[in-house]
Amino acid sequence: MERLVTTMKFYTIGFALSLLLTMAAFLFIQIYFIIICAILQIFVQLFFFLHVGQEKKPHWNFTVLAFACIIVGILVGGTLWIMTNVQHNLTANIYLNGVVTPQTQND
Amino acid sequence: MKKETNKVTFGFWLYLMSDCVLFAALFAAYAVLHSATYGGAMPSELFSLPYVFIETMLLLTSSFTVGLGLLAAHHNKKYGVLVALTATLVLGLSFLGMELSEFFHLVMQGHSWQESAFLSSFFTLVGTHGLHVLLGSVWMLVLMAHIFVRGISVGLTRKLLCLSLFWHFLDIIWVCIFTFVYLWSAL
Repeated sequence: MERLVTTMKFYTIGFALSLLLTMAAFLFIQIYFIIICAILQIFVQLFFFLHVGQEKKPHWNFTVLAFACIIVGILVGGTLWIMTNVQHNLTANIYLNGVVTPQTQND
Repeated sequence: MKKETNKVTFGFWLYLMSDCVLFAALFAAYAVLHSATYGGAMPSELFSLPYVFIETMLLLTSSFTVGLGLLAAHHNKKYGVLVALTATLVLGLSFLGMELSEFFHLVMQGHSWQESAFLSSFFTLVGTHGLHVLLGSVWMLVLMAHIFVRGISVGLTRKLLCLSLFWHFLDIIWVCIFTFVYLWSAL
């Protein structure tokens, strides 16, 4: 990473925004709000602290980050998809015409 | 020298991305298991949000101070670097102290990782993050000793750059932890 134009301002703005987003998340604990605050704060910290997106060409750091995000997406999304499916398939449904399937403790 | 810095920091960035995938796996496990409480304690009963808020403030501020340390290094201010890194270390260790205390109290109350899958995944995820912070703190101490003895140089600035990348990354992971583990429990 080349020496970028890192000034005190950058870190201070990043810090202030992160503080705001953190306080907002702790104050209003609503499901979509905290997720949005988290995502915003991640972007803020990536940009202001880690200087992602400020590289000169070629943007290898950003490329590698994007790739990692894809992998993470597949890993977490795939896990949730599969495990939800498993839970659904193993859930007893006693209302279904007398057909009973085994129930796990997660239900 | 600049090329060397670019190569080294890119390599370190690659490692950081792999660490990201590691944490993603732990998060996925927690997502699946957080309601598997086996009749034991639930997340909402165990977590104190004001406590976590203080921890978050400590870590966030330490992320800020390590950035200041890097700035000081770019301007060749040896003692600026040492002051900033000391602040970072103190904040980081305070965070760790609070986390250890939280873990200790949980275990003392009988809610250890052996109680349920939820607690297993909780201790693994948050514990792994804490372990990263601990190792980062050790690294920081060693780097501070180097800078104290030899003064700021291009090589040491490069090492500090890698450490600051690591430290910022840990704060980002913590953002995900306090959102999806702690705040989630209060939903």
